[in-house]
Amino acid sequence: MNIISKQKNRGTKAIQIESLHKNFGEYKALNNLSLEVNRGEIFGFLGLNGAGKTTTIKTLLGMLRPTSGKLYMLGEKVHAGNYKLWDKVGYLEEATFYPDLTLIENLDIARRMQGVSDKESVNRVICKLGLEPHEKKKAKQLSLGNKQRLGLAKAMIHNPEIMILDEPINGLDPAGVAEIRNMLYDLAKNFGVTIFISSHLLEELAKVATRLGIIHNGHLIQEIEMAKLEQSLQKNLVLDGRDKNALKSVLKEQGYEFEETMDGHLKLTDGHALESPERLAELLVKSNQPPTLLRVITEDLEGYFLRTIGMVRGNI
Amino acid sequence: MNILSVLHCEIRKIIRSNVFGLVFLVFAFGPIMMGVGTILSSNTGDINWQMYLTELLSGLAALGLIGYTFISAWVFGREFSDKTIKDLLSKPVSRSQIVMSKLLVILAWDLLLALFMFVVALAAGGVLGVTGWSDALIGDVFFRFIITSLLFIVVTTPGTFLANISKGYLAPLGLILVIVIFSNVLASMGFAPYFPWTIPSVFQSTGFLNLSSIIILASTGIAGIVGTFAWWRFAEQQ
Repeated sequence: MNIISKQKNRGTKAIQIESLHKNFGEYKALNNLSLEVNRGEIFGFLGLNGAGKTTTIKTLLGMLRPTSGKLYMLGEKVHAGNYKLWDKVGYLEEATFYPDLTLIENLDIARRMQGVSDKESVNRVICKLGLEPHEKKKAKQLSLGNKQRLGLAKAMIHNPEIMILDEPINGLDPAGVAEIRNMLYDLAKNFGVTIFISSHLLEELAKVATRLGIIHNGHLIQEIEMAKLEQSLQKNLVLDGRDKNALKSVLKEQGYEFEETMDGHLKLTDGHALESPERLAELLVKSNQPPTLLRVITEDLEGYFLRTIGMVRGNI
Repeated sequence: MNILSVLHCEIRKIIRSNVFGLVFLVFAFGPIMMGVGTILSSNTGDINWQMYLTELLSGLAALGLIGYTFISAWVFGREFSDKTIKDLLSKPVSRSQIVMSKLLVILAWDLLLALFMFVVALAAGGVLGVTGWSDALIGDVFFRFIITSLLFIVVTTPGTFLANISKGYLAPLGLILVIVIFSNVLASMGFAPYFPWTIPSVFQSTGFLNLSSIIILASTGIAGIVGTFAWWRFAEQQ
């Protein structure tokens, strides 16, 4: 890792997108998208299919021209002619390779194209990703997981300062997912690599990202630090009893707001029930309607995501 | 980034692919079959090298057009079909260097194929007992065949451009089949010196091209190359 150049650029953001618009004819793929990613951050980029994730990434890589707006990486303006910038950026959209070439030949081509003179970098990245047993295999003969590892190896062979990864853990088994997650975490924490990761695997993204951005209809609608996510997740009190109608009457009399869930329980949506569930339990017992279920349920990441983009998953 | 390094990658990608060997295998059949056909169609059954090569190479040069178009379409088109185009565009290499490297390896591969077809034609003639060998004659015929092949290679560049805008190698192959049909029709109508893809055949048969033919041929080749460079520099990669 080039520490000197990293220090020189320390003041600038790793990625800056300012008021980005991208239209395909009448269709607005990106609509006033702005975001910033700090150095050494693992930024999770979340959105539905067609939300604008890939368009954002392709624009960020100079493959698409913005209709309006500006993009910077490491303080340098992004455009197709500024190809030297890709010396500091590693990119994986999907595992692509030359099928008739072996894994090691594919990596050697990536090394040369990245302008890395040290031939040992190929062996180092092979070791890092545990690809030693497969290095002589033709790329087309690799398993899906190892193809994905090859893609990652190509994206990091030149020790980039920024890695842009689109669905990097597709096809990996659970052990592989954990391994890649740890590796990305290590790259960010110990080597200051900025990682911009887009994935539909919400739970996995939550495990690795330090900050999350949610894109919907081409617009960034939410940014949240993962450390603060817990506070943002909606909590509900769910209860049930033997006589549901009597239970409902008691709740109505006491001014509690509730709704019935798909599995027949009652979900209390007002805050004071959540603050002191023991008082509600006491009230129900005194009203001769002791609850058979009383539980505080915290929304999962998927629920949070769907709520943020204004979609309803179902009443649970 | 040194262009030699990009060139090295391009050569390696081609030589290690199955298509490289397959092209030579397929195009070995052309001269063999045409050679046998040429001998069988001669009235006496006895044929000399002059007659054999004159008849054979006019057919071979046109066959080469299909081969050269396939090569240029494949070298560019495979980056789209293998989806490696995004890899290429996110490397610290100027796009013009990538295009230049590809055009150079296409030229080298095309010339190698032309040479290969000529050698196979000679070998087939030798086996079939063609008589009247003369080093000077073979040298002259070879020189004209290589120039003709180069002229055909020049007019494959619109196919190269089409491979890029269509993001694959099927469209240029379709185009060249249409062009071959048109070429026969136009040549029979006397327009061979004015249609870019029949001009090389004019040179093959006469050893000469007039200025208008040279201008048409050069313009076609340059248009294909400029279009390809411009496409790589300015087109969006969705």
